[in-house]
Amino acid sequence: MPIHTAGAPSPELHALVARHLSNPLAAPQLPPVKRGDVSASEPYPVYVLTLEELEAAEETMAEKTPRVWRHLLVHQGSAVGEVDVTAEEAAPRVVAVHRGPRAPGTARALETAQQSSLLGASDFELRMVEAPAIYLVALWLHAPYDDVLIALDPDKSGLPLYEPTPLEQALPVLRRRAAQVRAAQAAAPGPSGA
Amino acid sequence: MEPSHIGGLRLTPLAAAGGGADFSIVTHILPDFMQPQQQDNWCWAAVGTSVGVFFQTGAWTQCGTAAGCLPGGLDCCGDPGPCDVYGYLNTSLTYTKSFNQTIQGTYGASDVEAQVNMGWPVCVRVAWNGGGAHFLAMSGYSYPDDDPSAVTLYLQDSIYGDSSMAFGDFPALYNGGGTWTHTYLTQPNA
Repeated sequence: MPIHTAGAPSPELHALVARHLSNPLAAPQLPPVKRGDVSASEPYPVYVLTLEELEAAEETMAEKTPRVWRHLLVHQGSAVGEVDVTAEEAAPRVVAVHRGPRAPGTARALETAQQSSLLGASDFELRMVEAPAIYLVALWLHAPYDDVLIALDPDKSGLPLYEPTPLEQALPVLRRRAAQVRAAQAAAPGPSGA
Repeated sequence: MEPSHIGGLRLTPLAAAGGGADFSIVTHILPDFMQPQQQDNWCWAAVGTSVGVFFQTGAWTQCGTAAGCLPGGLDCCGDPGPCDVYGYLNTSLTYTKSFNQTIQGTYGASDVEAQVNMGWPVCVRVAWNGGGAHFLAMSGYSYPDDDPSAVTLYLQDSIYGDSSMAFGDFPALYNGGGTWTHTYLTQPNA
């Protein structure tokens, strides 16, 4: 299955990431960037949904704009981290470096997408969709008449991990989880969390 | 030699630019201590347990902490389902003998620095934009010695793992983004 990424907001993002990570204190938990031993992927857009937007996702997902552009960091063939860059075209900048389960999860989900017979030979645009309220973390493979989610670690939305799920099948699961979160918050008033 | 693609994404090697920082850095970063949360809603149990284990105040487990904090004498280790609920961090930190005080609202960068210098993580509650809330820990800082306002913050999260970002961008640009509603100071209590 071929995938492509939409046009990044600036051709300078890769240099921006390299410059940021050349400071060893930018991400001391990651392997140090030496010449050529850490690579960054081309950037892909990350979309974020609120509970309200999840409940009306069929309408709102099409209108969303990316929150950040994310680069996957690869060291010795393994995805070891991520760098988020602001989506504003005027002055893109690095806003966060992450090391956690989402980096290897993204690589694994991409491999799943490549091998999936469900996705066939269609050409999909690669996006990431997240909803922190329900800990949705998923690849969002977008085509004009076809949207598929692949949930990945550390997703806790209830979608099956690393299984392509057509959007129309995913939405009832996400809405059910959103309702559970609203109920859980209501049952623990005040400064509670999950 | 790095591969040129991963999962269909094109890779480009990052070449270090300029050999790194050419200024002195003031920094203190605590070791990794955060456990991944074991149930969907257990960030409060994971953070309280992780801080307690880090302080060595006891042999805490997430399910034991949850059982100790929730009413009703639940068996959260044998049957965690009924215990998988929203909870309170001041309660779990108290249970693990790691609580100092709750501060409503945010905390200054220099105050975080002082806490970290004592070896005490600063825990925070973030209300996500558009619903839900989450606890995580600030466990380090750094800044150039000629610009103490340019603080990089190091975070440990029971869902997302470790992150680093500018203090001023937290939590507006932290993952989905949110509002910093409460601060929880920690300390080991005998």
